[in-house]
Amino acid sequence: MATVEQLEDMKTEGMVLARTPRQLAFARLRRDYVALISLAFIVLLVLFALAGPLFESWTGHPVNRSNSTGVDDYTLLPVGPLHGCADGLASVGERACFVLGASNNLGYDMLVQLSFGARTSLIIGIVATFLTMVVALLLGVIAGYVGGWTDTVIARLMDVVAAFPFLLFAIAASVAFGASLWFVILIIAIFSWFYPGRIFRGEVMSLRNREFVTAARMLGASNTRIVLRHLMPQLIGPLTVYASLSVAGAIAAEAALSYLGFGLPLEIPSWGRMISDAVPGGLYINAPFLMVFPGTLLVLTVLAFNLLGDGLRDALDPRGGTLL
Amino acid sequence: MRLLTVDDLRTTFRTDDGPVGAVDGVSLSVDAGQVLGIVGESGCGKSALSLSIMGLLPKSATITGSIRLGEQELVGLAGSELRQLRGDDMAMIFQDPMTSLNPVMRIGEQLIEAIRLHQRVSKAEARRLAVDGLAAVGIPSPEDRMRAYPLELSGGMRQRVMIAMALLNRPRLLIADEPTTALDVTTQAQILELMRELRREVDAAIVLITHDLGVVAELCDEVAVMYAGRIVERAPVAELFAHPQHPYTWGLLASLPGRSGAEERLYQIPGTPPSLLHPPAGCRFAPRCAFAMDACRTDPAPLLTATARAGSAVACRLDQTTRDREGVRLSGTEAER
Repeated sequence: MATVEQLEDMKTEGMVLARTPRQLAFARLRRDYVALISLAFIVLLVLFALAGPLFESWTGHPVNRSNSTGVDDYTLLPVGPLHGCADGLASVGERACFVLGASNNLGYDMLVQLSFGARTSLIIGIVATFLTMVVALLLGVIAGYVGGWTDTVIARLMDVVAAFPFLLFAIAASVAFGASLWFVILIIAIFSWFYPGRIFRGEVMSLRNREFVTAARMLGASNTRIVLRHLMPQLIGPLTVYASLSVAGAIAAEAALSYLGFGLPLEIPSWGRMISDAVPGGLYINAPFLMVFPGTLLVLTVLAFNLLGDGLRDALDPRGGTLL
Repeated sequence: MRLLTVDDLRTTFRTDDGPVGAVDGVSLSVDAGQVLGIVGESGCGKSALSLSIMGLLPKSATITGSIRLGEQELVGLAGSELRQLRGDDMAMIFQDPMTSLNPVMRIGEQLIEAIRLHQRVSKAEARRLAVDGLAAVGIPSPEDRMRAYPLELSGGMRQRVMIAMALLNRPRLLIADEPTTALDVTTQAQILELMRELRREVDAAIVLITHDLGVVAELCDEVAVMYAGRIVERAPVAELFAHPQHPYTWGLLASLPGRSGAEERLYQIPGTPPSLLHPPAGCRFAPRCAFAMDACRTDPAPLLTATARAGSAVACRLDQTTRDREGVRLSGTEAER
């Protein structure tokens, strides 16, 4: 008669392969086409952003041009895609040739602006998310693990931050402190940490009372060790999911602030400002591409990060089925 | 050699409804190489007692009394000092091996961590010790199992890993809190067999907490019967089954399957255990006891006192003759068969 142990051996030796949670998550993600397409889009976007200087030299239009370059001679700006390119793509590099058209009255090259705008969006998305996650992990884990008064104070702080009207506060602060790249990043991080923070807090609260934590304490592990070695690794799932969603949120928030004119200073290209530049005088009615190009990129980017986040959440969900 | 001495231990939990005295004046002692069984129904304070000894109680609990491990007093010890003893001088096996191993760490990592918390050895040396530890608890191909995650092992295997982990640093005191309860019957037998073997090999004092008198009969030298936070009877294992002295113990023995006739319903002690929030004034078993006198309900319960039976002590007002007679009659013990 086979003992339980022997059956167990047969199982691990190839009949039904036991897979670790990580292997399962990757297996699920590989079948999630929406998430894969989103990931592919994000990779392309990163390449597009990195290619900024290449576009500058290809088109001959620097990202921040002064009047001395002479392009402001074009009184007919804005111009549409391939405007002034007599021989199509072969003419790229000529002063008057704009591949995707040129925006606003200074003659910013749309392609170059979009590329550097992508750079701005990604930097803000990633740095703001990094800060958000650091604060969320720190406060969420402390609140969840320590409990008691510490937890009450941190949890109420989260409620207060959640209740703040973000745009109103951001606009007021922008007027008071003056907008810069760091200002935008900080203001976004300050208003986003509470959400993942709550998630981590809840996660740690439920983990803290699990028996394996008592078992670790039984073996003489200190609180620091329990948090770092036993609890943190279990937060990697939610961390990845909310990081992805947070990047989307930060990019959208920056675009909103810049659109309203309270975001980045003028020398930093931004999709949000490109959209708002198309508004005065009804420019977008005659030149819809001024709004359509940055608008579409913005929507696709935010969508991609959100869908990737959703895909990760499904992949990491322990109830997600076993894919036999 | 006396290894564990618990003296008048009181563990009180602070709750919204008021203090709950989960352990109420428990005294006991265990020698090295001896197995003490603690039996009682759910909620009688068995687990609170074991967590008190290990210093693993939540912050809402307070302890008074004395717990000595060898010569060292544990009550009032600083957290860091207690941490050095835990896992080294004393270790514990938990009820449910499904939840007491970290699901996202490999078995090997967890074992190596347990060793390196208390022994200054290299990673390679710790790994070798861990493999030996797994082999000692009868895990086949321990080298391979080191790389497994808990979910890849069956319940019985996980409990073996848990036992190996508890024994890694050769503790002097091992507390096993219902080590077989969460396992199926065949696995239970295997784990009990393992514990019996280990008992001979490791020279530790073992406290076995269980509600299963069958397990007690197989493994223990001595038994303490707990009821509502107090020890009501303590006796060598053979004595307990042959001459149970406390009415509660009679009820426990009588409710074992196979004691009454096969066709009969299992015996059941009437009533339910008291709430520890408002325990009865006198003897805590009095409300359910067929022999309770007026004094049992009003006067403080008697302390554990030695009986005429060798090594046995009981906290009961009944006289020796009545206890001997009724004990044999009501619990349907071997003496009767």
